[in-house]
Amino acid sequence: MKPDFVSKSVSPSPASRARALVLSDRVYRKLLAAYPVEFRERYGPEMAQVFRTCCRLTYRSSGTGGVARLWLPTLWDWAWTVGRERFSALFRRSMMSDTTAFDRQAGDMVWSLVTGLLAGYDLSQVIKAISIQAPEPTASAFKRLHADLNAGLSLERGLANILKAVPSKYLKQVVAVIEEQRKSGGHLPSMLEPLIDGILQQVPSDGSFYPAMRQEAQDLGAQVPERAREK
Amino acid sequence: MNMDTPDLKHFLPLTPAAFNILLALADGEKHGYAIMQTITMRTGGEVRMGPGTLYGLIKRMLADGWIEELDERPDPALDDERRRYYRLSDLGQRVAAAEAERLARLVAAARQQGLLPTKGRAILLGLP
Repeated sequence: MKPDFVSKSVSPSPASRARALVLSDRVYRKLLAAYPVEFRERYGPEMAQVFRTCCRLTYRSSGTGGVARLWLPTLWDWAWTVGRERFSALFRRSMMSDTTAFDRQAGDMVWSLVTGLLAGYDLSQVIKAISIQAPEPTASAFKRLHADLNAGLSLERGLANILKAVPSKYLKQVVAVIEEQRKSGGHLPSMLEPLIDGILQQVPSDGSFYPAMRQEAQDLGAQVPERAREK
Repeated sequence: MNMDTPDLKHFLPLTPAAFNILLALADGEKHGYAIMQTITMRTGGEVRMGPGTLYGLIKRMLADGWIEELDERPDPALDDERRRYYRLSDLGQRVAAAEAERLARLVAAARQQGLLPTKGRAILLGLP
């Protein structure tokens, strides 16, 4: 079946054509205001352009009635996707509030990364271990990263994804160090280790997973980096 | 963890809309309207996607690395400069192939259960 705009052709007057198309364009652009601002700014112009093209071609083939019929699925699509994008923006905001909780675990998380790497595990194994043993919200962030890596995403892309979900400035520091190491080389645990005390001085640990991780590292006979307050 | 054999299972099954977008991009880069048009043509009008659905999925696929945005338009002289073009990434191709295999296994199972004609009969009847 061919789409409506190629099945038949009508030739309306240029004035009524302009009115129907201009009105549709204007109304649709107003409707775009209901999307979350981030989504609207990035995709709004393209969506408006696609809708304009649909209207123009539908009008050419089916006239004003065709454009009116196009509005019904368009309104349904608009209502459904506005709801979805708003929910997704709300979820992102709640992740932002999780960022505070994430920050309270950030020092322990970097400590775990360093300890795991010093014990001879590779980065992906350490990420998996943290995803299993860390409490929320660190566990979810690392589960997502581990799933992304497992699916073949590059480490850079996976890290960018968790940064998007948890925009923690400490996580950003960790990502910057990992990227720097991948670009210029160097001993990753030694590059990460200075971050531990810096983070812990600014945000004291919530104590939710460091003791267990430390015990496990010691049981494995791993070299455990000291933290300022333990020196 | 073996990075050479990526586990794509947690992406599957894809929604029909997502699979259709990946299929539309399988033969080369396209802008949003061309993706919509290809899907409408390919499905005989069964799947019609509005701009909200299309760009919501494009946003997610870009974030997941399934598709990429082109830095340059393929033919700037013949095209509107506001249009953005998208193409399938390597990961997107693997995800689409994994979904196609999953669907093929379902079709094979339906055939085995007698819900569809056997392959030879299907060819004779002009069915997929």
